[in-house]
Amino acid sequence: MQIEEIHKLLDRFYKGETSLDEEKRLSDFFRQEVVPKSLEEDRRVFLSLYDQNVPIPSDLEQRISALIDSFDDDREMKSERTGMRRLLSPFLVVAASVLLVFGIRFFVQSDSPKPTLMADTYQNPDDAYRATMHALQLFSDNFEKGMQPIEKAAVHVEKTQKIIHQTIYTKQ
Amino acid sequence: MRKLLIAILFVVCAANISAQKNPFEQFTEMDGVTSVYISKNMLSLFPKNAKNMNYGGIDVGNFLHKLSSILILTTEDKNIGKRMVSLANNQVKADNYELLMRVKSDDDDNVNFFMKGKPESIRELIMIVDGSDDESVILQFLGDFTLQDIQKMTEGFGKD
Repeated sequence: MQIEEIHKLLDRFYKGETSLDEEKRLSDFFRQEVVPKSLEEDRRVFLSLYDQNVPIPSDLEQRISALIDSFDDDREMKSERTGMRRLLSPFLVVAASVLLVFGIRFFVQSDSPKPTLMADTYQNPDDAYRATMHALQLFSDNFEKGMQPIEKAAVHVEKTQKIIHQTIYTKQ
Repeated sequence: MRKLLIAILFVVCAANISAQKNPFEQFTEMDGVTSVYISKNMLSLFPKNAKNMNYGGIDVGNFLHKLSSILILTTEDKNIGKRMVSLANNQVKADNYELLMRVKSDDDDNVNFFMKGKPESIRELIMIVDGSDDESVILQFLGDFTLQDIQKMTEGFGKD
C-alpha cells in the first residue's frame, strides 16, 4: 500500500468521510506494517481504536466479583440492622409499657391515699356518727394516756426553768 | 410473643391494683373480729358545725372532714385478739410505718400509734391496742391531716 494513499485515507478518516471498508484497510495497514515515523502518532490512534486484543487484566473477574460482593455486604449489613431492630422492638415496647405502668403507679400512690373497695358498714349516718365518735373517744383516751407523762414532764421542765431563772435573777 | 407481652402487662397491672388495697382489709374477714368501716361519703354526711360535734370547745368535725375513711376492728376473744395484733404488727413493720407513740398503761394494755407521711401531712394513722385481758382494737384513719389536728381533737375529747 502506497504511503500517499494512506495519507489520503487518513485525511478523509479525520474528516469522517471514510467507509467501514477503508477504515479496515487503514487499521490493517497500521497493524501489519512497520510504519514510517511520520505516521507513528496515527498508528497509536488506530491501534487504540481498532485493536481487538486489548490485554485483559488477569484478576478482572476477581475484582468484579469482589465489587459485587461488596454491594451485597452493604445490603446485608443494612438488613442485619433492621433485623436487629425488628427483634428488639417488642422488648422496647415492653420496657416502655412497664415504665409507664410503674410511673402511673408511683403517681397514684404518692398523690392519693389508697382507695379501698370496702363497703360502708352503716347505711345510716347516725349510726356511723356514733361509731365514729366512739372510735375517736377511744383513740383520744389512749392518746392522752401517752401525752399525760409528756405534759407532766413539760410542767417539771417549766418549773426547773423558773427556778434556774429566779436564782440567776436574784443573784444579779 | 404478643400473648406473652400481654400476660406480663396484665401481671404488672394486677400487682398494681393489689398494691393499692388497704392492708388492713384482711382483718375484716377474720372470725370473731367486729369490723366497722366508714367511708368518706358517710363522713361527709355528718353535720359540719352541729353542736354535738363540739367537744370541749373544739370542733371535731374539722378533723373528720380531713379524713377519707375510718376502719375500726375490735375483738373480745383473747386468742383472736393476740393473732390480730401480731398480724397487724407484722404488717406495720413490712410496710415501713413510723412509730408515733407507744403507751403501756397500768392495766397492762399495750397501745402503739403508727403513722405514714410527714407530721404536717399524715396520710395514715393507726392505733393498735393490745388488750391482754379485754378488747383488742385496731383503729385506722386514712386521709390528709396534721399531727396538730390530732392533738386538738384528742384535747377536745379529753376535756369532755
